[in-house]
Amino acid sequence: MSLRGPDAFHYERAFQLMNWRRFAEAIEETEKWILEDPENADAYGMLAQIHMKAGSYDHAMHWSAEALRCDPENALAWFVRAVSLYSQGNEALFLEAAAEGQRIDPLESYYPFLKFNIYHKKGDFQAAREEMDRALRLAPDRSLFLAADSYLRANSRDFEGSLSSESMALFHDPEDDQTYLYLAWAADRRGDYGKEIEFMKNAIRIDPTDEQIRSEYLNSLQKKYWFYRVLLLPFIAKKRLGKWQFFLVWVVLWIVFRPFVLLFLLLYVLAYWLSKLLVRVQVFGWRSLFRKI
Amino acid sequence: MPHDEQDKNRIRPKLKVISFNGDESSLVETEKSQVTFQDVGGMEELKKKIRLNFILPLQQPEMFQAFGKSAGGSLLLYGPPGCGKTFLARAIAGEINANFLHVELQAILSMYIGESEHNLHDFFEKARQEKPCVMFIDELDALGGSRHHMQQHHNRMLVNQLLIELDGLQSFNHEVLVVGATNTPWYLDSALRRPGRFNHLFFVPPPEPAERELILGLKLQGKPQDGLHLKRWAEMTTHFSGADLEQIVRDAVERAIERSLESGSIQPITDKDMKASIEGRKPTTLDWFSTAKNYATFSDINKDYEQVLEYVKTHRIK
Repeated sequence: MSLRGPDAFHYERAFQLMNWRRFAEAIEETEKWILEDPENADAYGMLAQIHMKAGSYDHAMHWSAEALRCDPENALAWFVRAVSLYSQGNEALFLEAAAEGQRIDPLESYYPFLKFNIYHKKGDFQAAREEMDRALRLAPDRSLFLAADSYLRANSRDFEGSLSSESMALFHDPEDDQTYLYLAWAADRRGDYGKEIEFMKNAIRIDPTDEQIRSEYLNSLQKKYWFYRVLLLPFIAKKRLGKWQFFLVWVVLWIVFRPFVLLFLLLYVLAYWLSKLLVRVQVFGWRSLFRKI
Repeated sequence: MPHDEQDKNRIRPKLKVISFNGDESSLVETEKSQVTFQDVGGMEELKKKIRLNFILPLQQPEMFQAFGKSAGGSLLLYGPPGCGKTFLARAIAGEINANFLHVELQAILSMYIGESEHNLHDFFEKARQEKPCVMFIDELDALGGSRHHMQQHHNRMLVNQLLIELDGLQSFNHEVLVVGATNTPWYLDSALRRPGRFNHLFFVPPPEPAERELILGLKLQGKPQDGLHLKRWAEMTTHFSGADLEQIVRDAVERAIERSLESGSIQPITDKDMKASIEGRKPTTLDWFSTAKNYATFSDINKDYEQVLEYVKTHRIK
């Protein structure tokens, strides 16, 4: 976006305030901009973007529609629509908005990244690979994409490739919480729990306000305890064997060693809850056992 | 005459306040009534620390010089919004009879590249000219936010300029005390927190019941009222900030005005008005504590926010 004069001034201030997460003030600044220039698509697009960052997706959709009314080809408005629809879990409409967004702004690398996430979650690694390659062609240095690539490779059991993407991600940006989150997931898939904890520690240090990061951090800390790690060994085997082989092994074990399988399940449940309890005491103190967090 | 009585009868000097006038785009000097630590209710521990680290070195330089400590320096006040950080900074200036230079974000930020840094430098120069001076930088996070999260090069330059000026504190800024205030200390650039810069962090908590009673009394001063039980309302407004209390009084005043218009004669503010106003409001500080608690629990490598955790535990904030 290339803006001049008062437009640039309003944009700069609103953008800064948005980055500082002072959303109310950023909205106020953008509203001033709209008052001065009520048919400015960029101003509406900015307002939509602020609402999107604040997590108010309905407002983001409303203001992006206003921006598109002024200028149907406004790249920022299409971007906000696509991200909001993705965040709301509306896959069909997201794909439509992303296609339009990519037509207008073919160099925006976040569209293929969001598509990658959709295919990856579904377990369609082939389609995820294609989208990831597209994203990395557009932004080869973006640590978030490299970390996601590391995760995809770990899931595809290309552990060497996963480690190589991990080191590139850390080289390009060692201060991004989402990068660390993906790297922690990748380390977990590789069965490298030490690294997983380390990455989650970094993620939470950078953004402890993210609920997903908090919950995943506490889960990762459970793996610090050897008794829990030992009982996770069969799950490491699952990551290396593949779904059907893993299932078959369990069926055989159930037929041959039924009491041992039952004992294992009992121990697993015990270890899970004991490690959860220990993590709670470690992070929140022993008094937390008697109150709701 | 008792000591307290003497203090009360003493004619207070005026505090010279230098601040930015947005309409004229220039610095203006005004005089405000001097406030000192006596006017700041509670926060005894905080006042003691500030006195020891910043006020006494100015008042008794010889003793502190013997230990290699010079007058001036910088400190950072943080806490929920509306809890009196600016007032406390003014009280520090009053305590040492210094001038008070109030730096606000709008006075620094400029649409022209390079001018913001220039404005910031001018403020520091002004503080050096006006010493002894307390330079109060409000919303420090906006000027000195983490450079890592800044996408624009010139924003990073502003943080660099702030670092240069603060480092100059040790050499050129004798008798200049820089007080920063922020609601979000976790967004500050880590370089700003190194020794010699803003390495003294002070938590400014919401007012305690006695302070709340005082604030309510001050805000209601001069307004028609009918034997209000301020102590009771102060107890009912746990976690409310000074700004929240002001809003409560404003709401109560509105109710009294409405009644006055209906009846055609002035109706005083009653306990009923206060109750209705309080019932309709929640303390705004709780949002802040919910974020601060996460930073204090999960992200506090240097143990900077222990006071926040302590406060949360003591006051049972969920």
